[in-house]
Amino acid sequence: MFGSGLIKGLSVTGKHWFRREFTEQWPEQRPDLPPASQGFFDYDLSKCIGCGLCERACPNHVIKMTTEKNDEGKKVVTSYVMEVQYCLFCGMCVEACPPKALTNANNFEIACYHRENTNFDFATGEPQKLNEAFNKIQADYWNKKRPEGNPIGMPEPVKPPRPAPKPKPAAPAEGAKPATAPAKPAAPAEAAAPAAKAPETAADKEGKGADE
Amino acid sequence: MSIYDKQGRYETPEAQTLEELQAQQEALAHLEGNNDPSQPYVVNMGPQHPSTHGVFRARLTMNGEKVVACENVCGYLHRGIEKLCEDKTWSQVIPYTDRLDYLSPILNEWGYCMAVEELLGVEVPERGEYVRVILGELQRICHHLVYLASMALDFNGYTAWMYMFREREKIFDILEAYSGSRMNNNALRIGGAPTPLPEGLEAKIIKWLDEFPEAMRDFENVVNGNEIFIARAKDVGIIDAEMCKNYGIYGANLRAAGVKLDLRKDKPYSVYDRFDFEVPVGKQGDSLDRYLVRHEEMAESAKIIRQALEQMPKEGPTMGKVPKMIKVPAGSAYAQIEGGMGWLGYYVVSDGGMKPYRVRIHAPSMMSVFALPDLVAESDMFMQDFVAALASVDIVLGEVDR
Amino acid sequence: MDNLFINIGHWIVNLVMSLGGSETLGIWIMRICCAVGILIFLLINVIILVYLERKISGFIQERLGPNRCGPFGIFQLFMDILKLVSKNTFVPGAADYWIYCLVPIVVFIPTMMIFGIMPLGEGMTVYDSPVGLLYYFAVSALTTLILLMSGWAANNKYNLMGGMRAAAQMISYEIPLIFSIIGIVMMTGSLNLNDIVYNQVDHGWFIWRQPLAFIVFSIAATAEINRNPFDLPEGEQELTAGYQTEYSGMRFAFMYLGEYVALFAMCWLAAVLFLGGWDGPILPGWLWLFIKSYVFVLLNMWVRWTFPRIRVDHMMKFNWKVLIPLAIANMVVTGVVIKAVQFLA
Repeated sequence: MFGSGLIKGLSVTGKHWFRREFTEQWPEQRPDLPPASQGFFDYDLSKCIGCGLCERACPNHVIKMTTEKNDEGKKVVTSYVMEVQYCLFCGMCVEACPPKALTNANNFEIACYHRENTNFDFATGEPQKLNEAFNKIQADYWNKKRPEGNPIGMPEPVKPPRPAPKPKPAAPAEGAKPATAPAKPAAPAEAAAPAAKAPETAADKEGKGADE
Repeated sequence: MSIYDKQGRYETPEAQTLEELQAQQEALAHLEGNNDPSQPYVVNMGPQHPSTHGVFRARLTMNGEKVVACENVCGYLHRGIEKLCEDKTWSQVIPYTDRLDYLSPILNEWGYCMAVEELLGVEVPERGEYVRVILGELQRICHHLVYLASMALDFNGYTAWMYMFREREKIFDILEAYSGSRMNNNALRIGGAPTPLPEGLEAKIIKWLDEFPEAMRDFENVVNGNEIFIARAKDVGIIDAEMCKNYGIYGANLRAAGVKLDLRKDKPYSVYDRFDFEVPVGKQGDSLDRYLVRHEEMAESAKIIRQALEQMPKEGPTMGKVPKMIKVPAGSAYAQIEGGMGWLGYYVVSDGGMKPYRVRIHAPSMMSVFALPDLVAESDMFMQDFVAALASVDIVLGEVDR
Repeated sequence: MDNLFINIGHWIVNLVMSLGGSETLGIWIMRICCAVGILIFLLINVIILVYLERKISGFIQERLGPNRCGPFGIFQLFMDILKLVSKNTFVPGAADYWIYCLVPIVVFIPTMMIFGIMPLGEGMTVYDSPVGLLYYFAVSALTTLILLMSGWAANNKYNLMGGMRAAAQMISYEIPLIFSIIGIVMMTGSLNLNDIVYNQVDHGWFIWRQPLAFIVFSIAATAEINRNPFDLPEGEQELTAGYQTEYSGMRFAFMYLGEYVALFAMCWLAAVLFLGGWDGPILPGWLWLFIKSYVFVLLNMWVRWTFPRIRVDHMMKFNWKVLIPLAIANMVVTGVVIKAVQFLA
């Protein structure tokens, strides 16, 4: 009744007995996360325009944002609370954000002991520090293991350039164009992109004007 | 007297009187065989059990070691998904459909997206279809891996379970690189796929595809060829084609019964008519056939993924022309796909607004669950056979209970 | 080195005599010390076995076993026992109180009694009985009764099914177990375990001379101690924990450890009967016996983590239709060959 099938099974398990283990020992070994991996969120207060699209996109009403108008009449975000205990981690909010102020962060180590601590107020900048600490640990570990750079050999995702502001009627256009370029304190590439785009839209306008 | 009286004993609240016990025995008396001195008893294979696949309760009436009758009690995982869908916008429903058959979320999303696209009249571009096929077939392999692993686990083959979950981990890495989550990835959208495959992911998938046949050979040697496994799964829980027709069971269970019916070949949706793959068919519909059919289907899915990677256009949009806030014209549509367990159907009714009026989900594993009492009544099953049959008809409670 | 423990024994006797006792008193005190020493040895071995099981299962499944509690996880079992001690031990309301409480205490006893007649090395047997092998099987059969008690006492249908299965399985598989040994007894002419080892030292190990008996013995032994692929009484996927279902905390710990003591005893017996006992070149005899029994333990664990469980009726059919005929055939052939050799010589 018993025969070769059993012996083959034993040989397979015997072979696996002496192979290296497949599991990774966290926290000594860090996981190899792709750039798109979503553990938590990263929020850039300077980029956020307070449109509320993320709030409306969320299926579970996790995001609660309050804004107020400052002296210049611009919308300023005063608090941006995410009740992560209800979050599905579906990513609809990240997808809905026009200026890409809300992005995915790889940080998955956000567990805590009390329910109150699952409400993160991103406007204060505290949760972003958790992300930075996590990224630093990951970078330290993977730079040692793979000094040539990117974790899984996949290129960095290309951030889409900030969409050009809509062409407004003539007089405010000249006022608006210089206003957008210095309003970006961060990456110079993105400041170059709208600056590069602005002459293009002006050229388009002239082209359209020529057509008409 | 407190509920914990001396030395930690507690009194059960319903102490059965002798009359009640006798009444129970009389109720079960009709199940005794001729000249059979043993008494049938009721065992609750309860919601908490190591081998009901999720929270599923089966009230088994047993006579010694044999199961005489079975009564299903479902509903322990009911989360009201269909009702929740009525409160979300059309795109917000997609994360909820993920959680139906939580072993292969992308296939669920695909069915829903197909139904809504039919109502909207949107055509998915070719590149988007190919991305959907690749992700969907990867998820089908994930689903079948859990099926095979759970079946091996229910036979106490822990090692086989571990090996199959190791393969699943590798697929999760691929899916994480695309959608951000390992499970319940919100990877498809109405109108196509949100992004094309990132650079470098194709190479990763091909590398995994090259390693997969060796893993499948390992599974074969540890489980398929094992005489103990074959002896326990052969001729157990036979669901033949007639029974499948009566209960509306399609998919791999029907194919195991000998009927060559696969929605991807017979009513091809998406771009499935461009691929060359076979449909494995079983002989008599016992547990071993169901196991082997799904084992072979994994190899066929790997073939499809390879062909899709080759045929996928390198440029082009992956999303059709869909507005940001989707408003679907009034009407209803039904879309079926070949899910991991059978024909997963979505009946979507719209009243012209931003939210669905009704989303009705036809869950294939629910039909398999309904077939269980009949299965038990027809054949002579030991309790271990019942566990094997339950494992082999492939139920996922997320889908059964929604 | 070979006579290390014998010298310790003599030293104890001399110590007692020098303190003014008689020789018999010295011998009895030495025997009591031996028994206590064996108990401690068994418990330490059980700890090692549980740790080994978890590590080996981890390696076979391509993962590490416990590796956090202590270096390489060696203190895992202590932490587990601490956890089990801290659990709430209650007795179910309708359970048979005295039997329920008695079972975890007695589950150890038969398997520990066995080590009274087992040779632990050359000349190291607590009581060298002329019917050692018979005593072994008689005592280990008591475990059947204890599992049945455990199955009945807890007033739980899963327990009862586990207990019934245990009774059916253990009683059935004792027969091929004993029949397979009869060949060895015939060739040796004695039931004494030390005689069997001396026979192997002179004429060769029984694993070469009685291969069929070895195969039948190993299968029947796995069934006797309820290990996979025969762990039906503790069928984790059908009966949630079989005969151990309602036991929790330290009661469960005792039953769990009892299973490993039985495993150790059976592997020790297999080493004595088939692999030549304390026979071996360089190392001392007791160390060889230890190593040989661990070879069987590792083999058993390898089989455990590979095969699925066998079905109830297949188990019975296999026993009565395959194993017993094989064992009887082995007996017959052995007898014929012995007589033929005697006739020709």
